[in-house]
This record gives sequence, C-alpha cells and structure tokens, in this order.
Amino acid sequence: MMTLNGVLGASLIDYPSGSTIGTAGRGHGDRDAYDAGAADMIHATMQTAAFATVGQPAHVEDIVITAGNGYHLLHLISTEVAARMVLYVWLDRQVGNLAVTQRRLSAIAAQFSLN
Amino acid sequence: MPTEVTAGTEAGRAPTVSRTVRPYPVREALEPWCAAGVSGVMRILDAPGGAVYVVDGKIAYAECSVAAGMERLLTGSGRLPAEAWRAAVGAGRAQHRVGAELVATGLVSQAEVEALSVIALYDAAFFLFDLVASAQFEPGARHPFGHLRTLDLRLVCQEVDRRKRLLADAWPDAAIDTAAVLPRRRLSTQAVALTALQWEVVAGADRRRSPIDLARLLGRDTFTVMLEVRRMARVGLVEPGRPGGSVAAGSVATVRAREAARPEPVPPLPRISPERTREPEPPRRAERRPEPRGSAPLVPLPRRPAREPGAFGDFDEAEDRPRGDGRPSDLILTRLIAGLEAL
Repeated sequence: MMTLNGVLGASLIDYPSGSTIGTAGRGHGDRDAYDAGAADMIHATMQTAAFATVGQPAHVEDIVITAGNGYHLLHLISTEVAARMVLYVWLDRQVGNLAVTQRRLSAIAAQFSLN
Repeated sequence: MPTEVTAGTEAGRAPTVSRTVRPYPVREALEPWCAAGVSGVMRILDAPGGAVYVVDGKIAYAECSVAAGMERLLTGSGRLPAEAWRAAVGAGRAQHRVGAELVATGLVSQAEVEALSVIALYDAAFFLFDLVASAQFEPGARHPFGHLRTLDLRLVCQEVDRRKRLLADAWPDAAIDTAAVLPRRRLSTQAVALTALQWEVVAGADRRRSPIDLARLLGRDTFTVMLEVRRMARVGLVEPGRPGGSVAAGSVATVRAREAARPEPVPPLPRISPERTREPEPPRRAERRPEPRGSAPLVPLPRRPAREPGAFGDFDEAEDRPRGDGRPSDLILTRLIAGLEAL
C-alpha cells in the first residue's frame, strides 16, 4: 500500500472496536487516537447513511475527508457476511492522486476479502 | 520475580514447565519472558482460564474461554463453512499450520487470517492481562494455528488499557457485560438508525443472553459486543436485566467480583529483592537450589469462584461444580485438551 504515490501513512483498522490491526508509514503522533477517530468517523457515517435518500445507503464503500494536511481515505472492506475492517490511507494532496488511490484501495480490499 | 520453578518436583510434569506459585497479574508475569525473547506458552490456570503464546519475546496469540477465538470469528460469523474449518484443523493441527491450511483452501486470504488473529489476540488479552492468576510457562510450546503476526507486549497492554477506557466511557457499570440484554419496549425518540452490529444485538437478544453470550451467538469478538451494548444502553436502546445465566457470563462476573474483593494485589515474597529481575529463571537452577517454600500450595485456593467456564464454554445453564480435589486448574486444562481433541 505504501508503494502508492503520495501515501503518507496507512493502517488497517477494526472499526467496531477501533483497534489498529496493522500500520505502515509515517505516524501522526498519536496514531492510536487517530485510528480510533477514524473508527468513530465510520460509525457516524454509518449511522447517518441509514437515513440518506441519495444513492444506495445500505452500502458505503469509502469515505473521503479532504483536509488541510491531505486526503484521508477510509475504505470499508466487506466480506460476504460482514464489513468490520477499514483501510485507512493518509494521502498527500500535492503528490497523491485521489481517484487512482481509491481504485487501488478497492483492489487491495478485494484481495483481502477474496471477492 | 513472580515465577517460581517447581519443575521436576512434581510427578508427571515436564521438567521444563515453570509455574507461578502464587497468583500474579498476568501482564507482569509475561514481562520477564518477553524481555528474555523466549518462545512458549503461558497458561493461565485460574478461571476463566486461557493461554498466551509468546514467540521470540513477542505476543503471538492469546486465547480465553470467554473471548472469541479464530473458530468463532471465522465460522460463527458465517464467514467460513464449519466443514472448511474442521478440514483445515485436521490437516494442519499436528504441524502447527492450521492458518496456512485455511489460506490454501482459497476461502480466506493470508491478510484476513492475520487480521482476525490480531482481533482474537486482543479479545483474549482483554480478559486475561489484568487477572491476578496462577500461571505456568511452557517454553517451546506453539499454537496449532501457527504464528501469524506478533505484537510487542507493550502494544498489547496499551490496547487492553484503551479498551478498558472505552468501556468505562460508554457505560460505567461493568455489571452490564454479564447481565441479560433487554431491548427497551418503547423508544424515547420517534426513529432510530441501527448499524448492522446493533441490529444483530437486538435480533439476538432473548431477554436472557448477556453481551458475552450474544458475542458467541453472533460470531463476534466479545469486547466489540460488550462495547456496543454499553453504547446502546447509553442512548436508551437497551437496558441491563438480571445477571445472565450462562456459564461464560457467570464466570466473568465471578472473576470480576473476586478481583474487586481482592484488597492488595500480592504481598511481596520475603526473599525477593524489591527490584524485579528481568530474566526468567532457567528451570534447572531451581533443581539445584532447594526450595525453602516447597510446602507452599502450588495452586492457591482462596477466593476461588464457585464456577468455572466450560472448556470452550457451552451454552448450558451453569451448574455448580465444586472443586473436589483442589486441583481445578488441571481439570480446566484436561477439558481444554479434550475439547481440542474433539476437533
């Protein structure tokens, strides 16, 4: 994942518990707090997505936060039965390519869950 | 130094096994072994019972009868058919490569197996690390799953502490974890949105199951369901009922009550210097050195809960099993082994 252009850091998060399963790259100081924050973000999105009337709210694939210090991509990994893990990538805004990274994350997620 | 070596003094026990004579916090008991970079397994002999596998001084896996193991996460959730799991266990158990066999089936990826092993490790560590329990360390022992990812002891401790904080923040009364989950009959709001996990909790709640039982039913890790139920209680979706009747819930409640009642962790041994040595004692040294405290009970008995968990915890109502011969820990071990053989 770190071979992607402009990726500053990446983690695999178990979002129901907010636990970091694995990390790579540069941290953001307190990485655990950051990953737990990412898990909260997913929680909040999932709660409100159920109320959304646009698109298909039942299935959220990823969440992109555009921030001053880069893009934050949260890609949900769905297996046949559950979606519990999230790939979190912090992408540099100047060097990174958001669309390419999103596609690449989809491919990585598919490899992970073999579907 | 918590570990006292009684190897060779006990009939029928491998001479390499060392055992804590008196209860000691599990995470502190692990410290010297991790610092020394050894491999082996620390078996926790007191209820709820479990094991922590160490590889080259790092934590490789942990299991506990009330936490989720790989089997629950993979088959209980419906991720893998039970036959696929059994086939992989049958093929890989002897060579310690069940994980590799699973990946070879093409049903799960190596990455997913590794991630689930970390989730299982954290789940068991949450229940084991702050136990004050008798334990024994068996150097060289390996988990049949094969070791996938290893984590620093410090990292696992941090995660356990983080989880305790999360639970306390969500709902302060720990009794909710072992009490029946009662979905509220009426909502205080007009509409509610549930995540998939929250839905599973509501759908699985039968006014008898505790969060610990629900986790088993749903094929989820125990901590996640405990946390979710506490969060749901906070927003008024569920409320705690009477104490859950299952063996697993009863076991956790008993252990917690015992820990809470324990006045002072452990009185220091008279002979031990205040500064604890980081080096685990090699078993042979103890054989040469006569043990003055040889008469100390190998398994401390006071404050023992009346019940013990089933070897992979059955769902049956708890029946009280008195500890007849005063060697309950061996009973747990034999039942664990029997459970493994049954696979």
